[in-house]
Amino acid sequence: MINIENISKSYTDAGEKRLILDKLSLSFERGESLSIQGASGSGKSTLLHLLAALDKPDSGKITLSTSSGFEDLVSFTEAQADEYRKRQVGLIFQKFNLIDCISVWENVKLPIQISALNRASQNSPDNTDLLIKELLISLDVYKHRDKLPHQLSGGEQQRVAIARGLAHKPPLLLADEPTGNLDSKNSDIVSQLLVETCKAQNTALLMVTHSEKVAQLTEQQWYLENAVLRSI
Amino acid sequence: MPWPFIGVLFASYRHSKFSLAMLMSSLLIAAAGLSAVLIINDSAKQSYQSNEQFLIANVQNQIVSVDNTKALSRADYASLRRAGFTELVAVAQTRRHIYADGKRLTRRSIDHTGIDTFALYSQLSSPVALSASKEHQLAYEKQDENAVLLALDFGNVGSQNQAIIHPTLLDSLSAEAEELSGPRPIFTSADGRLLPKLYAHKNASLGNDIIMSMAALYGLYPETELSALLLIGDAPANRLDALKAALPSHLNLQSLNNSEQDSELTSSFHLNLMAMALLMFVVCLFIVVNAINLLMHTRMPWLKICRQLGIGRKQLMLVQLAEVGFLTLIACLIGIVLGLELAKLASPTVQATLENLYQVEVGYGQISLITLFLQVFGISLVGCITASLLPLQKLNQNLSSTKAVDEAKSQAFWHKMTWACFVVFAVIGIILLNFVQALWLLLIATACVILAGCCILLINYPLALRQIVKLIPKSLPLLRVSTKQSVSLSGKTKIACCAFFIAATSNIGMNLMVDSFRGATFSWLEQRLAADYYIYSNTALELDDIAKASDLVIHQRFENYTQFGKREIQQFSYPSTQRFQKAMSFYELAPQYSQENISELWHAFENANGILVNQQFAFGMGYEVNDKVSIPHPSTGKLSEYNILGIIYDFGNPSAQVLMPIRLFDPSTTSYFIYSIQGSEASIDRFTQSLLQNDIDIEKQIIETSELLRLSMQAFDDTFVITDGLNIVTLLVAALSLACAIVVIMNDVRPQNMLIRSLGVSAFKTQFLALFQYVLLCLVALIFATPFGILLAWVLITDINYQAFSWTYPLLISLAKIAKVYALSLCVVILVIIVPLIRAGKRPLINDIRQVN
Repeated sequence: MINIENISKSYTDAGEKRLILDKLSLSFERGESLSIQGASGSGKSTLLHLLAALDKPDSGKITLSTSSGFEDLVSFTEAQADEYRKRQVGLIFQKFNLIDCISVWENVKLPIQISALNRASQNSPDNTDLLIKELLISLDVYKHRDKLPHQLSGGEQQRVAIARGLAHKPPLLLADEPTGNLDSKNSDIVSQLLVETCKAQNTALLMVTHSEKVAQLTEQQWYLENAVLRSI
Repeated sequence: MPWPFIGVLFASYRHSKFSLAMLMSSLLIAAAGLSAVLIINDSAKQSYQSNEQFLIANVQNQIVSVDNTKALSRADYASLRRAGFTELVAVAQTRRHIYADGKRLTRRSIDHTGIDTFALYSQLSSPVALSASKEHQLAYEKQDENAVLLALDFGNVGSQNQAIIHPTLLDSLSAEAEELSGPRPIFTSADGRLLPKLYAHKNASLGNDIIMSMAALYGLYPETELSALLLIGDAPANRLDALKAALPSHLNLQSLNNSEQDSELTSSFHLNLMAMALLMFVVCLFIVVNAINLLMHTRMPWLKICRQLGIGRKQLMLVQLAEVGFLTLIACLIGIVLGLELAKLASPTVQATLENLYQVEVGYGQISLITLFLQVFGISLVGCITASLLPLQKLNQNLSSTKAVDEAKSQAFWHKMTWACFVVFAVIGIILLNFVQALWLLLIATACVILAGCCILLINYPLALRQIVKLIPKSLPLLRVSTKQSVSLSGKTKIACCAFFIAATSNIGMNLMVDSFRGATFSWLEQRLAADYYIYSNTALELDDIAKASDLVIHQRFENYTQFGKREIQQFSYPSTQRFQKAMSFYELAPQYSQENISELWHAFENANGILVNQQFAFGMGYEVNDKVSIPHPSTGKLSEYNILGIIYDFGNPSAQVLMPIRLFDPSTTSYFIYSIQGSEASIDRFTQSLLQNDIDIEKQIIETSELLRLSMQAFDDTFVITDGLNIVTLLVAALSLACAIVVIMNDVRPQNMLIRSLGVSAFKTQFLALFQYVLLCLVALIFATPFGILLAWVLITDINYQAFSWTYPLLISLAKIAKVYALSLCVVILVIIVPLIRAGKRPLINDIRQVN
């Protein structure tokens, strides 16, 4: 589904060129879960940003195979990148995952509404509501559906963020240290739910984490060091 | 002194260029606006005083003729001086244009004033002056500095071929003359007589005047009559009694302390200008609040580090207050220079305003830069320190190690406080509007009206926005989110929104007032200008026969000035033909008359049983319809009693006026003539030809009614140019304040926007939604401002205009005008916030994600 081929990325820092990713290759399919660990500044988030079409590599190819064919992420225009994020990807960050002026339910519904804005065929409202309900129940936050985000605990907020990330059924979910802000108990619960829900939705999960414990929940575990990925 | 912190403070400027620029520009606008208004006010005051005081400051009394039957003559002057009244100084004045090579140089006529300079010079050491007490003498000498200077100048010059003129007026005349007749122009009168050599004299009391010796004036205009005999200095009561006894019956000794009315007129102008400037200044302070907020916001991480390093909160606050003071000082220095330039730019408009409103000519004042700096810096410093208190207090709270206050409790407290403020402002406003008459108190009442509106806005802002959310269809999820976000933004932009509300309210109020005034003036003029043509003349013209021969109907109208109580009033004849009856525009009729029996009113008027008075007469002197007034008969000057039959509109006239039947006037004693002519264009052509054949060259004085209407409305529009300008500046300043607040908000809402963008919403759409939020906030503020703007217009018309100008008119609520203010306000806001929005939109999403996470 995602094929990363020989991508390299470097930054210029104080006049000095620093290689972050060096001819890195990786591929994974829908429903698979991967974790990437590494030291701070090793390039984990950069890799995630490349997969979310937020940034472009210096060289190499990232292709996405969908039912309609292959898409080259590297050659995306800004509009194409927006469209890609709207339909194919879900993003979960360490913090600031929810819009604070709308309820939990509306937060989860928003990506569905956004991705359906330009589509001729929209999910029926009943189906959408059913889908959101199932997601929220599976993540155990359905009872908070009418609350505003600031009324929830950190763990609950991240669970809602997972629901939001998966609501529009993206083939790929990218999570950047989703449990970085949580205590260990909540971290275990949220990461478990994240992996299980992705599996249930047949969504590929690529998770960047510092936690070995969280990483062990995924099917493939990788470690990024010296700009090179190695399997654990 | 925390020197390392000061280093950090200056280093922070590199990272807070925008907030610093905002802070400095708001301080500059405030300082420049304030300086300009102070300069304009001061020079207008000086010129007006010079006009009123007849060039010499310490003139308490003057001798003038009782009425127009017998003028003050040179023989009267000579006999009084022979009788020992050597402190009298004769003055003659005539208003003329100046020519060079037969071409007219002046747009407006210039006062040519002849003064008996020898008498003025000699009276400086007169026994009367010396006999005054020492204290009195000092005051006298100080006040009379201008007179001394003038006298000494004439004493030195000594020749009748020299005259004194203000340098600015001389420069403008020279420039005009050079354009017309090349360098080294020779100034002449209309009939080619050479003017005395003009000497520039930097004396504030010289406005649009040329001062010369009496001999020089008579050399130029021999027919000029003496205007007055001035009694210089405070003469003791027994001296005044002796003078009164020595006066012939046709002369009268008048005290000049009766110019209260005139000084009230100028003070109303100053007060209006000052109120507008203060409004702008206050709105500027709102920017200062927001800009300092923004500055603190940028510095917060460093300030926190400073705190961790052990620098006390008090020290941090003091240094930042000192910083505000320092920035204010720099802004004031630059602002004063800008203010001087602004005042120069505004000078022609101010001249037009004063001329149109008060019929005085503004000259050129002398400004003390040190006084001006002290005034501007003092006001700005107090304002800025006050404006800094709120953000600094907030900062103090943020830097405090103690636990933050409960947000919900704090909100509830402020909600109650806002309600309390509303009640206080509303009660003060209502009391002042109903029970006081002093103009400055009424202006405070106006401020209370606006501030009460501010409180209403603050209380209802979130409620109104929530209602708007309900109106947005669910099929527009992003718009709904955006509108919901604006509810929380409204809490963060309170101060900026208040500034915008104040600017919008005053804009709507002023626009509606000016529009109502314009409409009332236009319809009044259209109705009043019943004839087809008008001739204005200072001398009586024999036109009846020529007019009849040319198939024209001509009505002669006379105008006199007479003393009534302490005021000078106009007596104006008014024809009572059918056409002129219909042309009369009444504010109020005596209760016994109505539109059905109006002919009875005209019958009483015709028979001199009653008179009509303008609003300025009735409101200014406290008369009502059916009151009896004793005023001098226009021909005989004897006091006669008349009944007030009605009060008429008379916009733009600063004088109290009575309309009387023509038969009461004697053409030989009338000072001003108007001829109203009815007839076709062909008839008027025949009439002009006949006039030329009869050697009456008044073709240029014949004005068509439409032209007169156009000129009057042009004068009206010129009068309100300053108001319009200040309105737009206020709006711009308010929008800048909003921009400052928005920049702070943009940092706060960055995570939210990042999130929306990460869902695949384009940068353009995200910024459009942000623009929608801010425009929505302004739109709601405008909606709240509308009823308060209308209320403000009503207060301005019924109270402020009534007290300042002694006239009032119906309020005209023009939806087009309100829509124009809406459009203008939103355009200004969009213009100001578009730059930070575009800047934010250009930032790549990845940068936001990195920064936020």
